[in-house]
Amino acid sequence: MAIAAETQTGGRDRAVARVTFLWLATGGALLVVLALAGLMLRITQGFGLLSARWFYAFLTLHGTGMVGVALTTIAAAYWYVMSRALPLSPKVMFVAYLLTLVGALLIVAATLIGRFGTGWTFLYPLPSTPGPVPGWSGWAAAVFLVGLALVVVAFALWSLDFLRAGIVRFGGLGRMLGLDILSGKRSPGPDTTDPSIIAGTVVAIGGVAAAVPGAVIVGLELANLAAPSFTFSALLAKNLIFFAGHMLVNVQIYLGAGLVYAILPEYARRPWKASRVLVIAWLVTALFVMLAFFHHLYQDFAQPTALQVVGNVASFGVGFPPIVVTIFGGVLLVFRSGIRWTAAPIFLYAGLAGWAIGGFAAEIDASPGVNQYLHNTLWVPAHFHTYMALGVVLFILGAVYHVVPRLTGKGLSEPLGRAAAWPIILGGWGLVAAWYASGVDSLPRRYAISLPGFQYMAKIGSVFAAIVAVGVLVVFWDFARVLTGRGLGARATPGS
Amino acid sequence: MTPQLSAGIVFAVGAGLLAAVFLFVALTGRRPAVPFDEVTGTGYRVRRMWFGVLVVVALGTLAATLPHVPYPGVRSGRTTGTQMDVTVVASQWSWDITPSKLPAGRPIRFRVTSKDVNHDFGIFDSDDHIVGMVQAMPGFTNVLYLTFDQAGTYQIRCLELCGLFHHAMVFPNLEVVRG
Repeated sequence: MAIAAETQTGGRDRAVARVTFLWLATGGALLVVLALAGLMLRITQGFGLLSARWFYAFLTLHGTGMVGVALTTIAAAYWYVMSRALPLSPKVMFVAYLLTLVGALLIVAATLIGRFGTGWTFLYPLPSTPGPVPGWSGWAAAVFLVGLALVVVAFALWSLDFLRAGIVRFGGLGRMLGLDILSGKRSPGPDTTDPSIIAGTVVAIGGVAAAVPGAVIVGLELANLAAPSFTFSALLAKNLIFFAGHMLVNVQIYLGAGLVYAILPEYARRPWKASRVLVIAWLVTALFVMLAFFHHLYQDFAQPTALQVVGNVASFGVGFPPIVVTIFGGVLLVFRSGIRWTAAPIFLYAGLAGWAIGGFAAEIDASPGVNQYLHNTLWVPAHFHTYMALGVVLFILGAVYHVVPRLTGKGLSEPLGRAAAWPIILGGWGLVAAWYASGVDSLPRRYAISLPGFQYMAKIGSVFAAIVAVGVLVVFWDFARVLTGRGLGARATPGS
Repeated sequence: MTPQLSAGIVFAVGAGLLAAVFLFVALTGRRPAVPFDEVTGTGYRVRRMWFGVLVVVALGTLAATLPHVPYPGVRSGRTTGTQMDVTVVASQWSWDITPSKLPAGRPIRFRVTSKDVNHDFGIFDSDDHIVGMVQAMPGFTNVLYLTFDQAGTYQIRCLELCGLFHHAMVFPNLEVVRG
């Protein structure tokens, strides 16, 4: 870290390590279980496994769980790395952990016991209107909404504590974002923000911003469940849901950027400093990420056309900072660096590729005229799995390989990690390639039963998903072995 | 060539180029290291060019695609000939389409709504490719202008998760005839 301020005592070190240990162990286990749930979805579409009722329940569990658990797990990894530079509170982090855990358990209960099956999008009024053959009952919908709300509140707490700690450290939000560097008041150095903190600040602002519409829509939908005569606009509901949902998905990759800024330079043995260009890039991101969500509503023609155009421009605009600054910067950092390709940089660098290519696929779908032919086809899971599974999850794995030795005093197996990277990365690309091809073929997403004649696509996808699962299980086994075999050692040292 | 295939080809080419750059750079990491200062000068020049190229591509794409947004205020102005109104009412899990026999070559104005939850009115041609879509929303009527170039049997499928039988919400025979 560029900022070397010591902000903790030995007691805080242990508290930081304990709460990180809890997060990573819980998040790792949940991610594996949720990934296997996703594998079952593909197998169902290819070979038939789950009934429609179970399929939609598993779909909802997989989608909601992955969004929530990936968010909180990458936030925990980032928090640990930042805990040396900022006076972050382990107590707040522990409360956020408990809220997330309870929220996750409620979502599991709603889907696996109550078979709630609206997908993570829970578009109003579907939760209260399951249809003439109901797939779930009202209690399952209510439990799901409360569980989701707890996860969003947990992340808002995380965000508020990050902003508090940053303001304590730097004296203001502007300096966290690097406005003093932009204005020329200060040159990047030990007393200024750094790229990781700038990314985290944009994430934290987004986390707080998402909590407001998130709370409103959950409250409205709960009221509708309690009193069906209470109704509201389906269009307003979609805007609220997608503002919050799009934000909470996007900030995950930005947390990944924060991790890459902090960790990759150690392996490339080159610095990654803040600069005016980088500050501008993140300010552009902070603005456009608030407006890009309109692209989820392109096919809602009742939405004012001006907002659709804003969504189009913002969706294009939000792609510039990563591809021109962060991803390009990562590639430049590695270029002729003599980097030693251990597991951590392999996963981080591959994650940058997933972000770049998944982002490109998203941009193709971001024009309303093109979206007219790709919306709600398998192109959509193709692009978001590219930057979630081959971006966010790889960033998490890279961070785990970097953090675990510092956390436990014992490293993960490098040969196993490098060997597991192949099935995870190549299997992942095979999986998304089958989805892209299916999207080009107009296959609808979220179908319990594939269209006749197209099961072969799901079969191909299932094979690649199984290959990914092998790699993930190898990493998880090694991770579990280290965590359970050693626990927290005396060498537990937060930060990088 | 369908719009979907065009999008797929553009993606495959772009993704291939990006993957090639990542692989190339990863392999240079194995060569003897050079000081960072020696690569940043050229790197930042390349970045400026890259930024310029992307600005041109983004603005060009906006200019090329914005006139083709599917919204009624835009499409109605570009539609010529006598329009035919078609009412579409979605409900869990069926479509009520009136009339369901339509002429090819004549602009159709679909007026689409829903009795219950959100659905997505997806129009598939006889080759099973989407030729247009619009959300069916409770409390709103969305208007989709579409002219069928080809006669044949089209299918309507729901593309928005709408409950237990979402995948079975099909209108199998929207007949489009020359006439």
